[in-house]
Amino acid sequence: MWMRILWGTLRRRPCRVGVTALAVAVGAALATALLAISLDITTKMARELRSYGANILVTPRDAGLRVEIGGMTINPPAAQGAIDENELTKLKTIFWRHNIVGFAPFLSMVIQAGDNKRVVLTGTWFDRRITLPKRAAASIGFGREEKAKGAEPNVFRTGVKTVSPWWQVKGRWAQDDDPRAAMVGIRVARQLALRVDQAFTVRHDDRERTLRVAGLVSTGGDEEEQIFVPLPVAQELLGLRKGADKVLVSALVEPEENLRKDLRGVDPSKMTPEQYETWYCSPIMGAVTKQIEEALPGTKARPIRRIAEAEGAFLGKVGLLMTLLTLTALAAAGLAVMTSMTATVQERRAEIGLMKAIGAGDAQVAFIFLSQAGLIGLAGGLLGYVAGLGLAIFIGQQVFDAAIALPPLLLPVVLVLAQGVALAGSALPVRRAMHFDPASLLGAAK
Amino acid sequence: MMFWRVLRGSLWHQRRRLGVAAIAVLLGATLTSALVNLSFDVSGQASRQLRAYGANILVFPRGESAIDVTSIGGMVPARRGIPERDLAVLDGLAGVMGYTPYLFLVVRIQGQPVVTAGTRFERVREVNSWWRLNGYWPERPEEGLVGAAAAAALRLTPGERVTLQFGDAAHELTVTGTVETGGPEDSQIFVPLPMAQRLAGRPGEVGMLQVSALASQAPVQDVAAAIEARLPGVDARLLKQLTQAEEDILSRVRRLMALVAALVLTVAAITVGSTQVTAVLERRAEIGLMKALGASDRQVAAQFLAEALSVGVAGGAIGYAVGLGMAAFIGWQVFQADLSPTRAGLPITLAVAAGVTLLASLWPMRQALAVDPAVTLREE
Repeated sequence: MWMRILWGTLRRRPCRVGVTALAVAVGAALATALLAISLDITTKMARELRSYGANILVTPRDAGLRVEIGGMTINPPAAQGAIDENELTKLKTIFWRHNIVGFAPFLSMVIQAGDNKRVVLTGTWFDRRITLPKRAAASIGFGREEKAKGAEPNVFRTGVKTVSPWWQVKGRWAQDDDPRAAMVGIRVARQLALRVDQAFTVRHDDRERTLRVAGLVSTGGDEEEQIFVPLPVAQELLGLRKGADKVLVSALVEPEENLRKDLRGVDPSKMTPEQYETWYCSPIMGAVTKQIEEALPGTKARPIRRIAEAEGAFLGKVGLLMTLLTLTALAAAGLAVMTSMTATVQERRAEIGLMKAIGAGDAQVAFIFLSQAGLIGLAGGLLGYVAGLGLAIFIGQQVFDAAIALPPLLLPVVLVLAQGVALAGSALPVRRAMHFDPASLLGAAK
Repeated sequence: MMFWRVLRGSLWHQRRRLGVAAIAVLLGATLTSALVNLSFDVSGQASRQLRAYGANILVFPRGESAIDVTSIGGMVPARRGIPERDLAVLDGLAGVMGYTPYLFLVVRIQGQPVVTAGTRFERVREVNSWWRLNGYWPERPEEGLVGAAAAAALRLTPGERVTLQFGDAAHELTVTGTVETGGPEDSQIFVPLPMAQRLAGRPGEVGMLQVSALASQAPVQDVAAAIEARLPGVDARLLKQLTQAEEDILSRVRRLMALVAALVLTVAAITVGSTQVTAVLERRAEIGLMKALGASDRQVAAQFLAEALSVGVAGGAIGYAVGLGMAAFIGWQVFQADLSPTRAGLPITLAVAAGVTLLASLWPMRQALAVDPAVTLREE
């Protein structure tokens, strides 16, 4: 009997039911798309903000006072080349290895070029392929995307090209295995009158080397006044077998606010073992630098605050903006769907009166109307969920050139929301209609 | 006359039903207004936020660097400087959010070479929010800050006095705090600009300017060009690390907001439309009755559209105001700044509200009009 009534109404008023279900679907689509985007936006934005460059600086521990000027570090002699660049592979074995986007070692000195002009020369990696140990290759978290691009699973490319993506190069990038290649800052090039493919000599103490200009670098910063060569070339000029002065690391970290409440601002050395473990396994700056120091003994890893703090603040704002927008839109869409449901029930007050007049109990009437609302909510919610997924994916592609991650909990949440709104919207007018005398309801219809 | 009386009467008698429709319009208009106002202003606000990354333009005397690195050992400030009194022209320049003057030199402290930067602390404090200060900001002309690494190496603590030596000149400095930034600042010493000028023997000159320029109004290149035009004999260099990332992020934020706004606008329009369709559909009997009493199609249409228009305009206007408030609230919560409402907000909101209400009434009304009045009447 109940099924028949239910089915009958749905069939007899396909247009009206359709319009209501559409309203629910549209609301659900909005909810799905906005929820998916706002849940994923900080992750996506964090990746984009890495284009600001490295956010962690690794230097030898106890190096004494370094004179850092014009982008060059003048270390006390003991600290020169104190970081073994072959150890850097270990950065991809730490707990948050997939959050390490890139790193590059630097070794700098003052050399003489041309007719005894003093210039800063820095050895580094440009775009180096490093082979990772098997264990590090297993993909979790952020690693997934790289794998999807078809990159070799245990080869990682890193260097200046990754860490400092803003370098503008005239000519081409130097190859890391070319012992004669050099990238020359445009100001140095102007001073020494160097052009692309031109050869020049550099001297340090009594060692001499002929280099060829592969490309000219312009950045607007200190890099324009330096010469960059592959790391082994700089080591050889200094008479070292291995070593670097500093390492720049670009890592994805989450703002401190995402940390569990009782761990924020607590000194890790004063935590209980359980708290420490949670802290250690959170992708926050403190834990990542700690893990870097553990991987590279004898070094100190410090956040570059200018980059790290601006990033945290910006991510926080973007996340908050999307959350507030989503809440506003959800509230408005929910209310609009509710009004639409209310209107549908209200126009059927006469029907309620008729049902009661022929002996239906309040519970029966409510059951019929609410189950209809529930069906509409379910159908609309499902439809809306599918449409919303499409929208979220579309927006993700348009804005971030990457698909939005879809949390599996989204479907139940959206369905519950849609059902809840549909039921709440109908409950009120049904209850009101039941308080009236059936006769007056029937009379009011005409 | 008749038209207005019928319209008034109809609005009054239908107030509950129209109220529901008006609420739907109002909600749609609120969303539209909030989103349009937010998305127009968001890239400006985001650009302001991104300035937290620090200066994006460096200004040097033409052909010079901050310091003559090439003569290490006796490192001296660049050969030429920028006269400090010329800097006032930057104050009114569009797009310039702020600037900090620096004069670099390498002094000796306890026999060790240390890079010293003369600057204006009140400006540094405003711009470099990422400086972690242990102690307090210098206020007197003899006070300065020490980078954390320099403080550790020289064993300096806040409150101590040190002597800075540069050639034959020497100066006493009281350390009021240590600074930690993770950057080159950690191994530098910061002194008031006049002290650095006296030490270096360069009164009234600065060696470098850090300029923070907003990318949202004009491209940063234009700001740099304007600086070069106003300050003769300088090079304004864009820090590509910042300008490039900033452009990229802003364009993404802009695209995101535009797409979200378009999405919400569409949803608002569909919701308003569907409510209106229901509202007109359920009044088919009324249309039939009006026609049976001799009203022409045009009269009925004018009647219904006028009703729809009043609902749309009323809901739209109220919704605009509510949405504006909502946008201001969100803007304040997120950016702690007043949102400047866009001029396009009101027309767009009214167009969506009234336009959609009208359009959504057209289709069901045409249907109702097409049917024979007798049939429509009997159907109910």
